This record gives sequence, C-alpha cells and structure tokens, in this order.
Amino acid sequence: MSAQSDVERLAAENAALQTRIQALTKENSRLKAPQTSPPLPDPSPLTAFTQVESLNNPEIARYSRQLLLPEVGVQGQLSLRNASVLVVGAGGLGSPCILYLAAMGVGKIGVIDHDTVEISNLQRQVIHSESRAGLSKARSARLAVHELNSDCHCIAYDLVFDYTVALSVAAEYDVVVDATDNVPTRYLVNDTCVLLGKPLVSASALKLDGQLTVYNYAGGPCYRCLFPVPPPPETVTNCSDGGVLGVVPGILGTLQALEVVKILTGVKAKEAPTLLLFSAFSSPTFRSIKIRGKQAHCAVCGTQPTITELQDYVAFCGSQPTDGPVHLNLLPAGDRITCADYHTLRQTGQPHLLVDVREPVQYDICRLPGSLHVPWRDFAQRVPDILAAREAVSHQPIYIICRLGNDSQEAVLHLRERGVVDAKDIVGGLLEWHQSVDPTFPAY
Amino acid sequence: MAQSPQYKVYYFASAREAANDTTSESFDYPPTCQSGPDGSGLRISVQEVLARCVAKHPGLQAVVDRCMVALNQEYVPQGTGCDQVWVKPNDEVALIPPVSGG
Repeated sequence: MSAQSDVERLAAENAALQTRIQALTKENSRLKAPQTSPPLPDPSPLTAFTQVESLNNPEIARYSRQLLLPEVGVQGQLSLRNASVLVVGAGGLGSPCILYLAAMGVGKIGVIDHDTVEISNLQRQVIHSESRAGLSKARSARLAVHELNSDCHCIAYDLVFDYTVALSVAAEYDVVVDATDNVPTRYLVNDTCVLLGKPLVSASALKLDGQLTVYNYAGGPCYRCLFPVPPPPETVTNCSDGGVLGVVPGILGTLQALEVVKILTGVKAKEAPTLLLFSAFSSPTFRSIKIRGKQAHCAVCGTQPTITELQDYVAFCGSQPTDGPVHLNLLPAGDRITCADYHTLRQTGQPHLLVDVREPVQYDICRLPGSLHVPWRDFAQRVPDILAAREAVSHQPIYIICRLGNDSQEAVLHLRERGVVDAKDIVGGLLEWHQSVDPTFPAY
Repeated sequence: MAQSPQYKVYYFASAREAANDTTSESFDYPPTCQSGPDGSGLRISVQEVLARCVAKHPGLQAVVDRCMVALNQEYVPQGTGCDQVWVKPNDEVALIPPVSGG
C-alpha cells in the first residue's frame, strides 16, 4: 500500500469525522439552548363539548358511588355530565369548587381568573401548587382538573371578568359560580346572571366568616335584592389585609359545588331561598336565614328594572375589582419621609420617636427595633402615651409606620388635629422597607 | 325576681368588629316602650333596635345601612316598613353585612 493512498484514506476519514462533529455540535447546541417559550398546555380543548344521551361503561364505573344514591342516580349523573358551569375566580372559594365539580363529573367547566399563582395563595387555594407559582390561575386550575378527570372539558379564561366579556362568556354556561374576592365583581356577576337568566351560586369568605346563597333562581332574590347599595369602600376588608383561615373559603367553596349539584339535579328548585352564615369560631357554626323572593323594586331583577345592561361597577362601588392593597395619598410630600431617608436617619443615629400603628397580630410578626407600638384602633386614646414617650427623647420628631403606609398617614393627620405638627409618616410602610431598604425584613 | 324582658342582637362579620368584637348581646326595652295597641305585649321596632345598636356602638354607623337585617332567622327588608316590624321579648335580631372576600 503506498504512502499516497494512506494519506488519501486518512484525509477522507478526517473529512467524514469533521462532518459528523459539526452535526453533533449543532444538535448539542440545539438541545442545550434555553427554550424561549416553554411549552404551555393548550388553553382550550381540541374537541367541542357535546352532550350525550347515556353514560358509557367507564363513566358508570367511575361515578358508581353517586349512581348508587337514589337522589342522583343515572338521571342525576347524566345531568351533571351534560351541564356546563362557569366558575368566576380560581382562588380560595373556586379551588375546592372546581375540583369537586370536576371530580363529580360535571361535563364542562369554565374557569375565569386574571391573576397568577403566588406562594401566599397556597394556604387556601388548594387547586394550585408550588410548581405552578407564577402561572395564570385559570391555566393552573385547568391543569389540576385534567390531572383529576381528563374527561372534563375545562376551558381556562386568563382574563379579567369585566363588563366587556361577562355576557359573552357567561352565556356559554348553564350555571355561574361567584367565587370572586371583591365588591364590584360581585355586582357585575349578579347583573350578568339576571340579564342572562342564569342561576348564580354565590359565596364569600373572610377571616373566620363566610356566606352562601343561590341567587336569581326559582323566583328567589338576586344579590341586589339583599344588598342594593354597596358597602362603603373603607368598611370593606380584603383577605390580604384582614387575613383568612385557609379552610374557611374551602368550606364555602365546597358548599358551592353542592349547590351546583342541587341545581343541576333539580332538588334546589323545591327549597325556600336561604342565606347560609358560617362563623368558624362561633357557636352555632352554621346559621340559616330565610330570605324572601325577588324584590319588586329591585334595580335589576324587579318589575321595572333601571339596570338593563351592564354598567360601570368600579364607579358604582367606589372600589377596584381586585383584592390588592389600596395606596392612599392623604399627606403632602413634605409631611412624609421615604424609607431610604428614614434608613439614613436611623443609621446616623438622629434621635426621634418611631411609632408603629399596626394591629398587635402584625406587630408580633415583625417590627423595627426601638418602635413604640400604638395600634391605630387605640390611637386617639393613646396620644398622651406618644407625647410622653417623645419627651423621653427630648422632644424630637415623630415618625409613624404601618404595613402599607395608609394608617400611618391617618395617624399623622390625627396628630395634626391634636396640635402635633412635627410628625411624619414613612411612605409605603414596612412592605416598602422590605423592598427598598432591607430585603431580610419579613414581608407578609 | 323575674329577669326584665330583653331582646338579643347578633353581629356578623364586619358588624361584629364595628360593635367592638361583640358576637351577640341582650338589650333591655327602653322605659318608654309600650305594649302594642292589641295588647300584644312589649315591643320595639326593628328601626329603633338598629338605632339603639348604633347608639351603643358608634362604629356601626358606617355599616348598619348596608347590612341585611334578620328577625328570628328571617329577612326583614330595611327602609320602608322597617318601623312597623316589631321585636318582642326573646326575639333575635341579626345584623348581616355582605362579606366580599374569597
């Protein structure tokens, strides 16, 4: 064999190997490349929801425990299978409601929610999970439904339920479940159901209390019949301010799923309308109040309604359609201090009095060292304590802090009225302190 | 001596907080209270019951108008006619404000 042919053979081998290396390098980089859009589940099912005339064998096996109940039976199960239910809100109430509706065999479930899953939701919103934090709640709920019951036709609407979509979305469903967390959306859901003639299964939960009613059904009242005027915004507490025991919305949301079943199986129409009150730590825990039929003078479901189309619910209620924190602006900038400036003042050791006006439960969670604790609810009576404490730091300025920077402004205004002019509030409160000064300070 | 006749008021949700965390309390009838013209015994109107609650707990002022009111577990429409619904001894009045959280 000549040296010449060896060289040619090696050159050809080399070329082939180079080509192979190139191909493998390309494949490797393709596999390693970060995926710009992670594959998300298809938000809408591929096939249309269709009704059936009888249950198939897998359905009979799956729902046998319900089929054995005379109150449900084949007809009742078929009613669930052929029904569609829209759940507005996939939060504390929606979580168990959606799961049970899917588990019990409701054929089509719509879930509408514009929020994303946060870790602080998980103590009550049991349909979501740590691995789905950051995902839209509607999509997260749909994933959970499909894991539980892949036969359920679940549609996720990653949208705000507002007047632009309310009628068109709700028109697609037989029953609407109000599992929302704010006043304007409750009136919107109610008016939507009255205008479309849909039964509304409504519940609410806060702290240790809950309420449950079926509205606009079988001659019963609507939400406006019972609560014609929205509560003043300042008297409305939300879960992020007032707290909520996780199982409380769980109980109410589970009862909503029961009411849906009773409507779909025809049992509910024979019952007199009631408002169910739940108080977790009171006795009795449940109370049932008999309510009347629809009110003739009701603005939306009465004999001469003044509301014939959806309206501006934010203006009507004077509050936003979210349960997020409110940021008031009651003081001129000169009467306030930023967290950064207050931080500098502390670091340079300038004498002052720091007053923390949060509730005792919040003060127990975390506090800045050296603060005087005077809860806002006792503030008026305890102004003398504050002035005495200020004397102890030789009449130095007062800084007032709370969680979000709202009550602290009210407190400064109160001191102004009492003739104390050198008090300032700390803008944004302890949440802002966590965000802009000390990330190790707890946020809640 | 027999206990003087009373009626009882229950406060729910934000009404409980506005009433200084009172779940329920009993009220004596005011001395001006008369028996009904039909001799039906001591009575006070729902409207006056609410006014007396607010007088005792001023924080209720902002809440009471928007509350649903129930007498003996039965809804009483507020406003017109509320001064003609009578609360008799041992009756229970409940103040039920809407809860909106979820």
